[in-house]
Amino acid sequence: MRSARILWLVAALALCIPALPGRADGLEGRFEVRSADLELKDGVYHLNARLALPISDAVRRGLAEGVPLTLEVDLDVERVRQLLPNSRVAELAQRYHLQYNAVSGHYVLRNDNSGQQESLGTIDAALESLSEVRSVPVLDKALLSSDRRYEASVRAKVDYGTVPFTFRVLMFWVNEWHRESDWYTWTLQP
Amino acid sequence: MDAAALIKKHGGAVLGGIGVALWLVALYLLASAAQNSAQFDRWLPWILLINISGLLTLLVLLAAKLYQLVKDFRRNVPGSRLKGRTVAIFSALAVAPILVVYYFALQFLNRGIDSWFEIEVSQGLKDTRELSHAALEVRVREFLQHTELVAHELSSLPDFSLVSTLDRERRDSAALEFTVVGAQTQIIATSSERPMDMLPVPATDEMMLQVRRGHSYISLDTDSVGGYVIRAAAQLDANANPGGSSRVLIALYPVPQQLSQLADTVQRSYTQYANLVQMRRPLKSTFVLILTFVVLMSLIAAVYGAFFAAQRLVQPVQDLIAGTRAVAKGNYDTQLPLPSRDELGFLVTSFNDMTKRLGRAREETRRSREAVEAERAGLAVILARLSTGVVSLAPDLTVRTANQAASAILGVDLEAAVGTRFDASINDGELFGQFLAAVKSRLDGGQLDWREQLELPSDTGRRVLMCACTELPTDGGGASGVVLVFDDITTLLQAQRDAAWGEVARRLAHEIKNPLTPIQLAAERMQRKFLGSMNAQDAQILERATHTIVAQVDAMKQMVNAFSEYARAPDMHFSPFDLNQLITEVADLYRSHENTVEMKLSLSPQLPTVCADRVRIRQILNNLLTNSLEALEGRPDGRVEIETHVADDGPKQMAAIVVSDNGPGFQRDLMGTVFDPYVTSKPKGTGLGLAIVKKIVEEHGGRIEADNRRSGGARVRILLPLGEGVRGTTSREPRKSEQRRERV
Repeated sequence: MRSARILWLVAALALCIPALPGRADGLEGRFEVRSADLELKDGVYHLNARLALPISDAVRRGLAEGVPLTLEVDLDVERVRQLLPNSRVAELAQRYHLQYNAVSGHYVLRNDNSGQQESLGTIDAALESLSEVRSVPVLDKALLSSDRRYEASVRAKVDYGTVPFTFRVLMFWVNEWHRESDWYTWTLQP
Repeated sequence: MDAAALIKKHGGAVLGGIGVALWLVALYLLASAAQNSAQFDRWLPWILLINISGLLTLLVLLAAKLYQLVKDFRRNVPGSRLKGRTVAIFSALAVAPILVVYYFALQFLNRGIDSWFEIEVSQGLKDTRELSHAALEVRVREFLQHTELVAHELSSLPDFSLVSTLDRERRDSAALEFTVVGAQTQIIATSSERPMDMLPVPATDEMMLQVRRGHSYISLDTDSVGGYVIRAAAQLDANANPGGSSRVLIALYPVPQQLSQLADTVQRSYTQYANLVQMRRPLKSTFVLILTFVVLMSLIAAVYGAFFAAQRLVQPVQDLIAGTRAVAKGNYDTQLPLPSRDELGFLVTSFNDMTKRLGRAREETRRSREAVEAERAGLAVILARLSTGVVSLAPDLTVRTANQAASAILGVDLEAAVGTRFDASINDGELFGQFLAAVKSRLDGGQLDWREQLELPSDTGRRVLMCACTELPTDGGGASGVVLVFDDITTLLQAQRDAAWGEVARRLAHEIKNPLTPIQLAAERMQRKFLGSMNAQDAQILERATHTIVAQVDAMKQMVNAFSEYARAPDMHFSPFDLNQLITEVADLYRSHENTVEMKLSLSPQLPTVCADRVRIRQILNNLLTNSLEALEGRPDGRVEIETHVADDGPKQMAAIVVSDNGPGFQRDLMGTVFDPYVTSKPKGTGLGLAIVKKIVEEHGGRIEADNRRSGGARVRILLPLGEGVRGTTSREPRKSEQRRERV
């Protein structure tokens, strides 16, 4: 009698096994902002950043098959205050979209903010270009006061594929379609 | 029914219905959200919240039901086992099909989604892509050759004259743009079809690297508006250039719109398929998750429904068990709620009818019992107040009832003997023993209905009981026992006898006393007349004869006076006096008498003053002491004891005078008649002494008893009432002519 009940339980659990996710084939590995700085050019601060993307072999294969990759770089510049909370001076969300074009055989990297796009022949070149943020104009120097102290923070978000929000919520324990890096913060002295 | 009652009765069902409807809507929305995420993104938290809340609510409800069932099971609550079995059966019936459906739904789901990614689809897309490549390849080669040709033509031109040539070449070749850049990708010259709309196409690193390696560059690219363009680059021959600098021609060619649309379609399909491939696992997982969630909710709801159905089914049975127990405990007012109009409802209705009938029957029984009890109590009061003894006996002679009068007459506590055998449990009491023997001999002889006068001799005198025995009928017609009704008529008979003797005495006094005086006078006259005229011898004879006549007449007068005294009407003069003092005085008189009898007094100092006729009481004492002294004549150790004390006689207090001696005592055959006139054991006694004593005592409302001491000798016990002392006896004032003095 007891063994029959155990068999029933095992059968019920076995039915649920297909519902469990198998091997991860999405974003994998460390995702971080390795370095970032604001470079002053012609009175305008430009953002340069270097990212470490969580790209696995599976992601590379997925990209080669046409799965898109979206990168968003968030920048916050805040004025540091002693007793009060910091005040935000400038913020920027720079979005990039990388997708393989099967007809042309190139990886198209598009800057969603400016609409500019770049065709790259190899995935390595595309990922290298994506992980390198270069000379993105951010802030006019005139908005900063030289006797103040500022903090700049950069964070990156990456989305792999077009998995709907509902799926991501329901499969909340699977962290392979969306990642967010920690904030990379440094002091900015105009 | 008012609103509050309606809400109380149906509120739970309405709330439950709303909850179930909300839960079903949330489940539907959850399934819809999985299919169309963008539309339900905003509402997803609420949808999930409602679903999880529903799941938790169901789990809590189910856990509560399970806990209650286990608790009832352990406490052996009636119906819990049946409920458990019913829940198990219903759950199995509901769960098994759900699990089967779940299993096959999983299979269909997995296979259905997998079928989207059949190898043919993937291969078809790849082939389409290759076909697109092939279709464009020819045109791309043509553009590349044309670009190389133009670059060759431009190689010999100096930088300043490049623009016009570029314009011409662009128009001839229908290119969108021709641009010549230097070694540092700086633009040297450019010609564009839309110079105002777009900047010259920049030279990419990849392009410049390939060109510097000596290879021309050709690429099919997408433009910013979604179309396709062909980008080509070829190096101008530096040797032919007058300046000798390195220059690169970058050309941008349009792709025909139709071809571009087809390529776009291919790319879109390819991308969609790629997305679909990427969605394959999360799609399956999400659908399985939602399906599992729905099945889980359905399972819990089914099990909870099984509890609900089992409760509905078992509740009437539990009510019946509880009702049966209540009836067993005597609660006949139990009414069960009617569950339905099916067989269980019929059973409950029958139960309710049964309890109603039982209740009515019990009420009627209670009334009958109360009536019987009331009648019995009334009968008990009558029996208790009755002076006639009543004893009812069972056929085995077990005492059923006995009243106080029966106990008083027989001298035993018959009320305490109720429930025991009449002839076995009661052993003491001589009078009762004789009564029992008389009754038992008749009952053993089969006499159940009789009436007789029983004369029972005892130490305190002969007792006469008028006894009647009647058979008690039963409902079945047989005998259920007998009832004995008896009355002590000793006193009545004694009174009749006393009255008869009083009449005799009165007639004797009247008839005898009257002729005595003429007889005495005639004898004295005869003596006086003839004594002188007769000779001495005759005179002596005459004198002796007349003297004898006078003496005998005088003796007869005394006897007649004694009778007259016995028969006279009571003439009492009550006054309070000290009884002990009177006894002491009378005893002192007898102490002075010349005899050797010891006179011992034991007088209680607590004896209060009695209210009685002092002269009569003195007469009593005289008579009793005279009797005792006469009985002790010739005995050297004669002793008379007089004792007084306060005695309880029922509710009243009496002054007791006990006169006893150590003489021969009363003859046993005279014990019942010692107070009758002419009853005496003395050769010279008139037999009126004790009769007069008894008469005086009764005139005082007292009582007298005579018996023999165990150590030998007679004993007379007189009880006189204390206080007023008069009971039923009238007194009259003494006539002046009557001289009352105490005879000492």
